[in-house]
Amino acid sequence: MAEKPTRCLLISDFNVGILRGLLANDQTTPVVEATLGPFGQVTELLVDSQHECWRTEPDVVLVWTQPQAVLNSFARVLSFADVAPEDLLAEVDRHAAHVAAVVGRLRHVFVPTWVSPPHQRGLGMLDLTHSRGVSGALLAMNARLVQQLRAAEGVFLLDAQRWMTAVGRAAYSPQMWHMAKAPFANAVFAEAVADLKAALNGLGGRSRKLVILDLDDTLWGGIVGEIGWEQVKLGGHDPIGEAFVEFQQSLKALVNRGVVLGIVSKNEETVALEAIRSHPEMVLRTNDFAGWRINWNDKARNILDLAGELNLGLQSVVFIDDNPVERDRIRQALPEVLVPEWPSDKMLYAQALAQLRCFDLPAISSEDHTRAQMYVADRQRRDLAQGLASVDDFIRSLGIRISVEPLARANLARAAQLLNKTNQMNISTRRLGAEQLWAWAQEPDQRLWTLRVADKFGDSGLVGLVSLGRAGDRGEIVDFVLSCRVFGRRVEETMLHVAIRHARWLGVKSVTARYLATEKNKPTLGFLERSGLERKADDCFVWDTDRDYPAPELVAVDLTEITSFTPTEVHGLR
Amino acid sequence: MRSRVLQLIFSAIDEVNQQLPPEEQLAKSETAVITGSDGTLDSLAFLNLIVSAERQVDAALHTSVSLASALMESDGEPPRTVGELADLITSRLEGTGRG
Repeated sequence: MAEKPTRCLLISDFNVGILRGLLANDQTTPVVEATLGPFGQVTELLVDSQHECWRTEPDVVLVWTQPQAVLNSFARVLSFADVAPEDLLAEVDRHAAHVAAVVGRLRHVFVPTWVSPPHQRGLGMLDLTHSRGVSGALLAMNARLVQQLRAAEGVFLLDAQRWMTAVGRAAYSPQMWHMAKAPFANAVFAEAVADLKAALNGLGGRSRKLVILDLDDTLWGGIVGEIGWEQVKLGGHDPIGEAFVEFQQSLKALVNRGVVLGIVSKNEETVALEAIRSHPEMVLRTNDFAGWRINWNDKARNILDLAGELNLGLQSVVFIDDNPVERDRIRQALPEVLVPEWPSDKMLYAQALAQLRCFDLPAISSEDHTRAQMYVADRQRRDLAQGLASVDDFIRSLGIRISVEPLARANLARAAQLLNKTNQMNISTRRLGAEQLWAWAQEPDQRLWTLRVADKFGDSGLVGLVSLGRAGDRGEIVDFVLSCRVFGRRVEETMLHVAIRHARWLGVKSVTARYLATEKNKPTLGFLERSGLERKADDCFVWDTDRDYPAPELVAVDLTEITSFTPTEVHGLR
Repeated sequence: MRSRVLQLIFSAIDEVNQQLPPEEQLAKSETAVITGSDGTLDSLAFLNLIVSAERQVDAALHTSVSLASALMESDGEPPRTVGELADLITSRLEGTGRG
């Protein structure tokens, strides 16, 4: 199923025709259809919601300006006139207010930060500190812009200075500026396209979540099976060894952002794991990896197995291997896996990782910070499950505790993140921004609950959402969203219990769960088919509210936060 | 020299084609038309081609040909084809060009 193109309106005070052309020709996901607002009318277009340019009903808008064009005070700064800082910042505030006003018209607004040309030296050594300095003023303006727009939902600032730095001295093109009013070199616009696409992928739940790594000459130098862990190049007073440590530190930093690590390596497992556990300069240890396949099997098969074990789709996977043959094999066999070209120079590994644009997220929750720990706990659970006879024994042994809470400001950001990135257990796959979700749940006939799950191995955090809409004497489950990390642990039944119990409290006669099929949400249908709800049509399941939908056994469900239920109610383990 | 210049122009064409719809993309051929009623390039793409070619020459040959400025200052017709553009750049590199 081809995804609908993202309609993007480009508003600028300079010629962004090159940007539009690059966006149109870039066929990577998501496809973007860009339209141009009339050139040089930024404020007018932002404030006039009736302007013709909005009739294309864009999904997103990019507002890219030159500071001297939208802020008169900054134009005076460029001439080294004496400009009161408060006047400059007041103009920034006005511009930010115009940008923020656009939010209601579309889903997302992107604002590249203001830059000055690389040749602009300003006052030299005084440029950052003197009241007439250009760089100092620009820093203050960008900081103010960030401050003013940080809280505006759906507005994202893109760091245009990084685009300029990446291109270098040629980033600014005086010729293109004077002849075509396009101030930047093509490569700057190409950087902008790449960052915009990365942002749109993050917003669309398409950021990569799992990095699968080779070991020999990828995490350390040398073949551990041949030379032993004591002899591999890692750390020490050695440029290559230090480069591997730096690469591992960069991977560890990714883990702290919520990206999960795995290993697929052709090695003897015991030898490789001994290296990871024993080498004193290893930054990454076994507890940093959610899983591994260390054996002599085909790597494509191993990646499939590992991703399946972690309940992650191949579109979530990045594979890093120093060996071009293995990289080619994975590209051929598993085209959904991102296999970046990898430098042969080990000292460039950390840089190559940092340049990947596939991990961008619109928000970072506490769950993201601890995701790797959660996956490690999952691995421990799987190890436990292998030693137990039945699923019930396994679930009972976990000591699962499920806390159900209504949507609240405190859990809104994570709830919105879950709603927008969950594909497999998601009955309708509707996507809403945080404020839209909040507004929806405040309607009198609509309720949304969040579910947190913990067990003896750790806290999985907020992993489930269920919502109920009421129309007359009928209720309908609008959202039924659950992270794949906790599938099959009776959370699904708890979600139905919560929604149906509330429906009974409201006095409605039935609750309908309507399955809207996507390419990825078959697990939802599978659950509905075995849920006990009566199937009325291929996509329609109904529960008659004459009967309660029982809370699942084997797990402890805490419903104390649900005001429509009996206060202080807790279903204990039975 | 001219064949080297032509290759650099082809690199510039690759760069500019990334911004053009498929039906407007310029062929890497000496006879490809870049200006005039038979050309497919709009003014932005034409200027971008000139600036990109100038940058390619600067980077590869470490010589500034100031092509864009020369065209803006000249009263003559701009080059009509890729081949004419190669001739113009070559002549400027050899010190015999206009402007």
